[in-house]
Amino acid sequence: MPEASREDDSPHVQQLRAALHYAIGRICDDVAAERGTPFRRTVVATLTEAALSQAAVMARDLELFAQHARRAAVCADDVKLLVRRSPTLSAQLQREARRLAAHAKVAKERRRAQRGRRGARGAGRGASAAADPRTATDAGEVMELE
Amino acid sequence: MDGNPSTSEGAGDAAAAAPPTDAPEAPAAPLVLKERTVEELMRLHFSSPRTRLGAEGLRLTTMALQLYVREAALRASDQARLTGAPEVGLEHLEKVLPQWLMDI
Repeated sequence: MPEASREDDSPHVQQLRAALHYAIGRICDDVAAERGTPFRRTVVATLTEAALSQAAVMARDLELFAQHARRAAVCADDVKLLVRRSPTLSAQLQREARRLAAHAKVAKERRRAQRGRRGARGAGRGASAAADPRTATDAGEVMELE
Repeated sequence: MDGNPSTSEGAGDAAAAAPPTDAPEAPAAPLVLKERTVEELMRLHFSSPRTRLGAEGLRLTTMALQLYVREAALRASDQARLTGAPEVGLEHLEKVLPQWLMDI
């Protein structure tokens, strides 16, 4: 199935394969526990090789999507495009993407609020800083606005 | 070709391969696959050194890969059950692999 390449033997790739094999072993253990049927070790090994091959395809596609959008960084939209053919994967990833976006938004607003509070003592939002007596220091100098 | 896992009958031959499993069995299980591993795996196959994974991109890619692998395991397990086998073996995995490869 997967084409052998010089890459496959490097110690780095072996490390990745081992890490993937471990995670996939656990995924299979979970399924075995849920379904009541154990997995043979050879199945885990073969699934690992299949996953490695697919990961290569995924990486190339993700890179192409990002490059197409003139970006260097692969983002959520790229991954959503990648899994478009699978309704189940799409649904779960959409949900997670929304959750991550909501999180990021909350964090951003929190940072903006903190900056606003700090800015009230120094350079900060125009009107409120001007009206704020704290912007005038003892030396009588009023901190620059904006 | 209908790539929809919940409606596909499995390559037209009902007896041959276990149909794809139904949608979210468990809400995205906690990630056993490490983002670090996935990041290195992806970077191994990027053609440009400039290409990188954003935080959200990395998390979603890790989720996608884990869910995708889990799907294969679930289908292989279903196949084993269909044939009344006591364990999930290579013959079961081989049956479900072709459709699995097409479903992403």
